[in-house]
Amino acid sequence: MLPPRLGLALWALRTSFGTLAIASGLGRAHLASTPDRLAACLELGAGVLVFTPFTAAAASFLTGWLLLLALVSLLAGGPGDRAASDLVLAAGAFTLARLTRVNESSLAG
Amino acid sequence: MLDPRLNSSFWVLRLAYGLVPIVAGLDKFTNLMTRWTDYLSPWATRLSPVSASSFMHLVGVIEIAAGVLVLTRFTRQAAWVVAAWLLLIALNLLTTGHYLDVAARDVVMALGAYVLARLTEVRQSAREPASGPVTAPAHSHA
Repeated sequence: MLPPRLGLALWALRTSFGTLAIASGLGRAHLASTPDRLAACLELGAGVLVFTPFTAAAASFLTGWLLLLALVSLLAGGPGDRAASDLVLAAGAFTLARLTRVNESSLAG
Repeated sequence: MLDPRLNSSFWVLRLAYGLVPIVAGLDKFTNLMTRWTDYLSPWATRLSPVSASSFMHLVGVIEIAAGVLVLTRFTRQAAWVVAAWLLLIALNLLTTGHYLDVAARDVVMALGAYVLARLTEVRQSAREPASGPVTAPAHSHA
């Protein structure tokens, strides 16, 4: 069983990452280029999935996605502060995936 | 006992919340990553007794100190400081009326720092010996 203090932490991470991914996807949706629209769809989809029973899978996807965004930003000479925050957010998404898996296995056991 | 799968989460969060504030804090003196004074709200500039760049230097020192503390045995306390600090930055950004996306990311990062504080608490309490009377072994020598 997940300790109660971590139960609240899991809820906070799940709510915030789901909302942020949906908001980010909606923010990109008005952009005209095809890569931006594809990115908007991926972020929206992952954000919605975070609120379903597929939280762990969606959080794992977001971890990879955020790492990719940080790498692309660094290679393209984009703003370093954005890349740094992508890395920190990736660490949070990784933790969301792990906490969800531990919670699921404790509930199943 | 903390699930071993959460140990990697603890270390990933600890490294991220330790190293990134140190790098971001150092960059307040060099502005290589971005021009940090752009993020300072006019409200904060009016209240500050020093120039915007001096204010950001002070911010840099605080961030470096918080990052270093996260990497020491004061991880839990430092994580709470980082969480509060990120919420203050988000509040500052909200008062600019711009950078709302950056403010939203700062709130989520603040929640990540809160989770680091909680994980550290649970990890520490799992490592503490069980409470109760400790009896000396019969064969022990004084």
